Amino acid sequence: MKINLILLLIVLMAAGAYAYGTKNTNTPIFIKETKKQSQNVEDSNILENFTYERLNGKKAYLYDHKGRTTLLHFWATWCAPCLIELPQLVDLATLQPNIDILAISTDQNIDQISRFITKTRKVIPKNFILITDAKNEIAQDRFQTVRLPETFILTPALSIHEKIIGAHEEWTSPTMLEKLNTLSYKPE
Amino acid sequence: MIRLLLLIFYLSIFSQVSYADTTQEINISEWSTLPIAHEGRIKPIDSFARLLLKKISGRETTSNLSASEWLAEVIFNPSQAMERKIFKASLPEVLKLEQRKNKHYSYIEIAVSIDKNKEIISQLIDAKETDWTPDQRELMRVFQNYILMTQALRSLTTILPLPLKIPENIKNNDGETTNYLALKKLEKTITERVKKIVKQKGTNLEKYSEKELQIAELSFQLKTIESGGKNNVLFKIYPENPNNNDANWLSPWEIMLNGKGSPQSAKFIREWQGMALSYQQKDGKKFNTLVKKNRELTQGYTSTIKIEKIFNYIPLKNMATGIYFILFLTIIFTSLRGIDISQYTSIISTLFNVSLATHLLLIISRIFILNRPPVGTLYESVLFVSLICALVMFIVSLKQVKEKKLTSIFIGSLSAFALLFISNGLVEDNKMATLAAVLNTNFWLSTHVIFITIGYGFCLIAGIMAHTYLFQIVKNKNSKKALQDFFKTILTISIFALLFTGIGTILGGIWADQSWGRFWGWDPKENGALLIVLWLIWLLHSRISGHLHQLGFIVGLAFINIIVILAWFGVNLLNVGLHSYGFIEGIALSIGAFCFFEIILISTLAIKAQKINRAIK
Repeated sequence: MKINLILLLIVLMAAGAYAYGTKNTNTPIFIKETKKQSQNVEDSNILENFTYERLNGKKAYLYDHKGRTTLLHFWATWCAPCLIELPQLVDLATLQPNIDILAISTDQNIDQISRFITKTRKVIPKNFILITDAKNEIAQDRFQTVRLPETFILTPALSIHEKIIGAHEEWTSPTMLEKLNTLSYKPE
Repeated sequence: MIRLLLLIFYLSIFSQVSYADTTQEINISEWSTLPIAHEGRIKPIDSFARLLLKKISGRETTSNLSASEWLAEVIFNPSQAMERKIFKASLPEVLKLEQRKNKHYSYIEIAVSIDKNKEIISQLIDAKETDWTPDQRELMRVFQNYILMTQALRSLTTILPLPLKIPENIKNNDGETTNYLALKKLEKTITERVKKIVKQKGTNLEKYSEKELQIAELSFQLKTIESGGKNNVLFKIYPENPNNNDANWLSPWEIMLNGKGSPQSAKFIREWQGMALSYQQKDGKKFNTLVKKNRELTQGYTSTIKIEKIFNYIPLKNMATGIYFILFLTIIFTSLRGIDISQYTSIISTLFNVSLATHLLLIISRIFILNRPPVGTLYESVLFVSLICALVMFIVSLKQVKEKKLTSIFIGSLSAFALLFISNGLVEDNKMATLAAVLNTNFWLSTHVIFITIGYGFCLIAGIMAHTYLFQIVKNKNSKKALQDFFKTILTISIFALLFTGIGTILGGIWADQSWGRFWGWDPKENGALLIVLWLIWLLHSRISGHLHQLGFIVGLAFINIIVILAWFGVNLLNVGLHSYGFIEGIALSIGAFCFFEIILISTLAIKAQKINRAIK
C-alpha cells in the first residue's frame, strides 16, 4: 500500500513537472471571478452622460432628457437615405410630443444642416433637436457609428432599447407610434 | 503582381512605432485567456492561436515563440509577423519556392509563390476537389492557409496606428492616433478634397503638390484598408450582448462595417486599440491593465476559458498513452522472455490506475470545456471507447491483481494505447471541433451515442480477450481452471456488449424517429450497429443452447473486432447515408489491412487451438 502511494505521488509529481516544465513556462493564473450578480440588464445599459452642441451653439446634456423616450438619430446632409428619413422623424416629433429626437449631424458645415431642414419642413417642433457633431465625437467615438444613418431608441432611463441600422421608412406608422408609446409609459 | 505588392505594402504600413520606457513585461499569458468565438464555440485566445499556428505551420509553437506570443505579433504587429518563417510547404518545388531544409517559409515568400501560381489556383478553384492531384492538393492547402493568415494579419487593421501624417488643415483632433478610424472621421472631407484636386489637375500624380499628394495617399489608404477588412470575420472577440449566453460574437471589422457599433463596443475597441499601441511600444504596464479591464466585459466566460488554457498546457492524452504503452511493453516483453514479474503486480497496477485516472481527467475536462458529452466526433468516440476499454479492464483487474495476474492490465493497456494511438491519425487540426447541428443535442448524445460507444468498447475488449484466450490455448500455459475463469469473464463482457449495443441501437431508432421522422432507414451505420447486435445474439444464443462449443464461441467473438471497426470507421468511408458526419479520408487502406491481418491471425490461432484441444482430448 505504502509503495503504491509513493509511486502515485512520484508519477503525479513527474506529470506536473513535465507539464509545467515545457517550453511555455508562462503558467496560467487562476483569478477568482464570479459572474455578475443578477444585475438588471437595462440598468447596465444606461448610457453615460455626454454634452452636445445644438445648431445655435447652445450646449446641453443627454441626461437633460431623462424620463422621456429619446431617439438618437445619426445623419448627414451628404447621406442620401438620411435625406429621405429625416423629414419623417420631424413628423414623428410632431405626432409624439412626449418623446425627444436628437438628430445628430456629422456635417462639417453647419449652414448646410440649417438649409436642408428649413427646406424640408417649415415648422420644427421643440422636441426635435438638431445637434452638430462635426468632429464625430458622439457618432464615432461614443457610439461607433461609421455608416449613416443609424438610430438608437433609448428608454426613459436612457438605456438602449433598440438600434436601427440604415434608413427606417415607417417612423410614423401605427406600429412605431405604439412601440414608442409603450416604451414611454412602461414602468421601469 | 500589383495586387500582391499592394497587399504587402498595405500590411507593412502597420509598422512598429517608437518604443516607450517600460518597467513591466507584457503578459501574453494573461492576454491569451481572453475569450474568442471560433468554429462555433467560445475558447481562450490561446486555443485559437494553437489551432491557427498548427494549421499553418504544422506545429503549436514557432522556433522561439509560443502560439499566443506569435498570434499577438500577428494581430498587433503584422509587418513583423509577415517575415516570420511559419508557413509549412511540404512540396516547395510545386509552389515554386526555394528548397529549404526545414520547409518553412514567411508570409511574404508564400505571397510571392501564390502570385506565381495564381492561374493554376484559379483553375483548381473551378475544378472538383476530388480531381486534384496530391501536388495540387498541397498547393491549395498552402493557398487556403495563406488566405487564413491574411485574415489574421488584418484582424485589427481598424485600430492599428498608421505611420501617416494628417495635414493640419483637415485635422479634427490633436493628439489622436492616426488609424483607420481617425481617417474614417475625415472621409467626407478627404473625398471632397481629392475630387477637387482631380478636377483641377487630373490624375497625373506628378502634377500634384506635396500636400495634395498627402491627401491622395490618405484617400488611398482609407479605401485599401477598408477593402482589406471587408468580410474579415476571423477574430471574433466582441460579444454583442455579453449578458446573453447565446451572444453573437463579432470581429472588429464586423462591428465597423455591419453597423454593430454601440457605446459598449466603442469602449471595447478603445481598449484593444490601447493594447495594440502598448504592445508596439512594449509598455507592459499599460497592456496588462487594459487586458484586465477588457476581461470585465467577458467575465461570464472566464472560468471555462481559464481551465481550457490550463489543459492546453498539460498533455493528459500523451501522458496516459505513454503509461499505457510502457505497461503493455513491459508485460509483453517479460512474458515473452519468461520473466516472472508477479511480485511487481501492485506497482504495475498502480501505474495502470494512474494512467486511467489521467485518461478519465482528459475526458472529464473535455466534457467541461465543450459542455457536451464527449462522443460527438469520430476522434472523440475513439478517446471515449479507449477509456471504456481501460475502465472495463480496471474492474476485471481488481480481482486478478489479488491473484497476482496481469492479463487484464495487459489487455486494458493494449486496447487503450492502440485506440489512443489511432486517434492521433484521426485528428487534423481541431481537437475540439463543434458538432453538426443534428448531433449537438445533449439529450440524444448522452443517451444513444454514449450507449453505442460503450457497447463498442465492450465489444472490442471482448474481441481482444478472445484473442488472448486463443493465444493462451496455443501457448498452452494456463491451467484448465484458469482458462475456464477467463472464459466466464469473456462471456460476461460479451453479454454487456450486447446489452449496450442493443439498447444503443434502439435509442438510435428513437432519435432517428424524432430527428428524421423514421425509426429505421437501413442506413449503412444503422446496418453496422444491427450487424454487431445480431452477431452477438447469434454467438450467445448458440453458446447457451450448446450449438457452439467454447472455442467456436471464442473464435466468433474474436471476429467481432472486424465488425466493430467496419461499423465504426468503415461506414464513414462510404460517405453515404445520414451518418456521414464523421467522414474521413485515407483510412480505407488501414481498415483493409486490419481486416486482412485479423482474418489470417484468428484463422491461424483457431486452427492451432483446435489441434491442441483435440490432442488434449
